Amino acid sequence: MRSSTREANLKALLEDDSEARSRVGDLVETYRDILAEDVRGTRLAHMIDAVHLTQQAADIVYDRNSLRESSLPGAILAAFKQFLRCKHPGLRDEETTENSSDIMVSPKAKVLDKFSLRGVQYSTASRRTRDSHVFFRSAKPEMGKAPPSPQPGQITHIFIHPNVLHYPVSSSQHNRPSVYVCVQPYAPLQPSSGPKLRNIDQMYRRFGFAGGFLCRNEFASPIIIEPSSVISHVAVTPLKIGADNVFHVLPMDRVTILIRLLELEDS
Amino acid sequence: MEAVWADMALTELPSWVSKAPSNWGTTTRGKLSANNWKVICTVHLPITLIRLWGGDDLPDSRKAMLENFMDLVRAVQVANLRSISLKEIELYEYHIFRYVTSFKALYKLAKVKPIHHAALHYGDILRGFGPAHTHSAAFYERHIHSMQSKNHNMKLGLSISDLTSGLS
Repeated sequence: MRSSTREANLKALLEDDSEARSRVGDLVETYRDILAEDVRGTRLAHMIDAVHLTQQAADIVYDRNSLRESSLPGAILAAFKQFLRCKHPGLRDEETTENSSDIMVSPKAKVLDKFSLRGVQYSTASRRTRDSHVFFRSAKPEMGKAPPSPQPGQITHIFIHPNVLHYPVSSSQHNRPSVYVCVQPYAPLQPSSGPKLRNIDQMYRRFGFAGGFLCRNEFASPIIIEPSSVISHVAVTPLKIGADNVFHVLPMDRVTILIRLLELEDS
Repeated sequence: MEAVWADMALTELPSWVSKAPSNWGTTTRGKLSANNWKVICTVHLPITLIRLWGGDDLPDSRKAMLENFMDLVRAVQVANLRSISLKEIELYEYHIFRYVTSFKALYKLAKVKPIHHAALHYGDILRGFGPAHTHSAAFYERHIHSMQSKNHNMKLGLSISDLTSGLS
């Protein structure tokens, strides 16, 4: 209670006294950020601080100061070209050579270690492994077709390619560079896997969203996705079943989407 | 317990999930918080118990215990969703009813407690008030904290018009 009172007095002082505010300078900005963490997302916060009503929060947030120049490895560049071909089948101009269908994309990109999507932080495996395991869709659902099944994977790279594409966020905001996420999917169990392994996988799958499932302890080829294709984090547990090393994957979605997806797949 | 602890040590959880104590279930550790129990029951126990108790070669009673526990896990997962629909509320009611019914049949000596009764009515609360996080204790405590940090000059409960009418 005492600290709340001090906080209230300090806030009033900073609001009313311009001299005090100018003396503490940059600290005010940081202090406001810390205060916003306490109340963000609540309706009451919007009612009390009317300024929030006029601010539109972006789905994807990242620290622009942490962007750094880097060269994308060959495998990721190839996956990125494949992604661009699928997303923009008619891609031409400076990205395409005149006599070839191959897209010329510079390996130079600005890389990131983490980004926040709808308030949840995702990181690369090298930055924070715990936040790099995700459940994602490899492609957007097409009209009239069943959506592709979500799959688990690990984020290895997050980057912005400055020369390729920009998308408008909203009419009131400037165009923002698109963020791309490189994910290495966990390899699914093969039909030739032993009966014991397949039985245990079925046992997990029987409980749907609460039981999870098994994957092989290896990665498939990397693919590029957009952040909006990320569904949720997953909890990953390496298990040894008989002679096989596998991963148990448990989706950690808490916003209903996954339950609906799994129901759709079951039906 | 040894198997659960061994799997727990290997599980990588996202940073927003608080880790449960590695020695839970021992007298040294003592009581756990509600959040610890939630993580243990919805993440760690399913990983180990389904593998150990779900096999076809195990007795039916063991499989029935697993089924009973997983009904509870699914009910808790659905009840804690951040957004909820009527279909999901029905899913919650289906699992919690199955859990309480089979609990009585499986554990003859265990008493049905008020919390079991309350859990059966929680579907109505979800129907009336929406997802759990919008009416849980943490929700109101957060608002109390927010209100406490507003400067009110010791005139709590008075509106601006009350204050200005006092001045004139």
